[in-house]
Amino acid sequence: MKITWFLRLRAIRMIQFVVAMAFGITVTAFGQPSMMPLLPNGPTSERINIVILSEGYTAAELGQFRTDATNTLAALFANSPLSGYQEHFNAFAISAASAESGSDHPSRGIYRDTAFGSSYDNAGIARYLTVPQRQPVYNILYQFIPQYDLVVILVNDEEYGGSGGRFMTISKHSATAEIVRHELGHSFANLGDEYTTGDSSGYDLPNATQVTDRSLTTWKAWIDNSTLIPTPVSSGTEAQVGLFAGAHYNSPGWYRPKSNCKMRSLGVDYCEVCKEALVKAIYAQSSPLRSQEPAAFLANLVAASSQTFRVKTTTPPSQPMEIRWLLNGSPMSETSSNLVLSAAQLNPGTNYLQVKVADKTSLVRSDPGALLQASYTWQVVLQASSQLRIERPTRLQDGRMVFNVVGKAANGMRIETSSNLTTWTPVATYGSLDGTVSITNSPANGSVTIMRAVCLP
Amino acid sequence: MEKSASNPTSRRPVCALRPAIMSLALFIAAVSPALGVGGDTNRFIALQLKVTANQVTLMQALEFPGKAKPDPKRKGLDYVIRTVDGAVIRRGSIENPRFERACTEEQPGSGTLTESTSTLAEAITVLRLPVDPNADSIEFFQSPATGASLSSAAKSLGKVPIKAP
Repeated sequence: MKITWFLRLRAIRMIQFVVAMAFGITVTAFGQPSMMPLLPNGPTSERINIVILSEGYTAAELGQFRTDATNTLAALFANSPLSGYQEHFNAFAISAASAESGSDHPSRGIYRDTAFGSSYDNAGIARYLTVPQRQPVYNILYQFIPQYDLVVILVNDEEYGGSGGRFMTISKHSATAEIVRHELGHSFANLGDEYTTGDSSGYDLPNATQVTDRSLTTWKAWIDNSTLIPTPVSSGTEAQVGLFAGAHYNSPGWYRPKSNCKMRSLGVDYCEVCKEALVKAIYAQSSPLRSQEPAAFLANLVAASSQTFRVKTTTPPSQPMEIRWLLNGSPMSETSSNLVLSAAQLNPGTNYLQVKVADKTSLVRSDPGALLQASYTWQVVLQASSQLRIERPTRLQDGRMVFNVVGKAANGMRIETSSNLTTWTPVATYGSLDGTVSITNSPANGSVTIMRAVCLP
Repeated sequence: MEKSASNPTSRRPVCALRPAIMSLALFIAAVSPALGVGGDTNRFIALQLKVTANQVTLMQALEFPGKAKPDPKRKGLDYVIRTVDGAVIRRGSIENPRFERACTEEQPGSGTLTESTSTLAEAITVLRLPVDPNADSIEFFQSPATGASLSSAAKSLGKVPIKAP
């Protein structure tokens, strides 16, 4: 019995080894990495995917990691604007056991054998916590969720530390939640730092500019005409959006939108301009229009009938989604997510029904890319109530023609024949038709005969 | 579900890959219903690149189902995608992974931030692109420091094929 279990264990280990080698993942004695959804909101292709990776958690500590990951996620969504837009995000926790608990602290001679090799003391700064080797991180992302968007490496170490960049790395220290929210501005919305210490670099960002012409400033929609440009820092301008000197690691020559903001100091809210950039970054990846019914582009209506069209949208935090319906380019009165369209509203033949949805949040004043909007168009064909078609014409061995007439003819139909498409001669009349009737005809030998079915008025 | 995996620097027997591919397929199949995953008709290719001061080289290329997600577009490395005939079909830029930066508080809880940077001799990054049958190669250039557009005189850091084996 013991031998049997031993062999099974060997087989499981071998499978784990082969799988891990194929993906370049280090096999530990603590089992395979696994992924758990924390916030499942939809297809990974259509949502923003946050991935939280365990680092420095032993197998016995992975239960704690799932709790810590849940808390980290709650911290990410604690503030506006993300708090109102959670449904645009998925979140996952990937548990990868480390052989030892914690992280490296080289300045104190502390080294730990961990899944991703995290370390404090980078660039000579004790709080600079990062993962120098990215290959194992990419390997595990490829394995579980290649459509990752935001990656947070959660390090099981109580000492304060973290860093941004392609992967956000944070420790368990309570103050790191603010670092995550600040770094999110960089990683997700391409926001720049608004403080002035550091190395300068030289191009405009959504919240940092060298432009001092009010009309050319990217956040001009937020600047009142009465606001001084550049804007002095004073108690009277704290709440204003303007052009405040000092941003992007430079005191002179660079300007930020507001006196203070989370991109300048921790513990304060994002300013209006940074909130706008975050909302636009959300909609750049996740449409406000979720689905539509009918799902098919083409819808057919017949006279005296109607059809319901529906859209499902996301729910903006401050006010309902604006929904507009247009028929052949003309606005309709309906503003709800359902529209009942009757045949009487349609032109004969092809019509176009369009629905436009838009988040009219006050958080966004300028949306030149129309990121907060989406639309869908159906082609709606009004079919005549009486319509016939000829199917399956076949010549029999004795020379006769047989064919089917299919469709609706409420008042009956007439079969006509012609040899020149100009003069038509009735050959038979039938009563009302709703379905298929088979017609057999005996054309004259050697002549060309054209047949047609005509609905009676 | 299809997936191709390859590392040009290593050779593994095909039979050794099968369990891994099957595991991934089973995982995706298991997760898909819960997440509403499915119906992705397009595919993307993930180029894993090694970046040094003078060169960008391809480490591996993997193809996955689904829409290509955007990678951070901060200026660092500019790229040009060309057809087999050399016609440019797309331009873009990604962060240079060699330049790492950290915003750190001067004192925990003080709220006052300062920037720390470090430059690595080499670093790995990933660029995810929609699968385009016309895309043959991608060439990388150092982005101008001012954020200006790529000039014709920019020094090439290397050209790599866009193909998942």
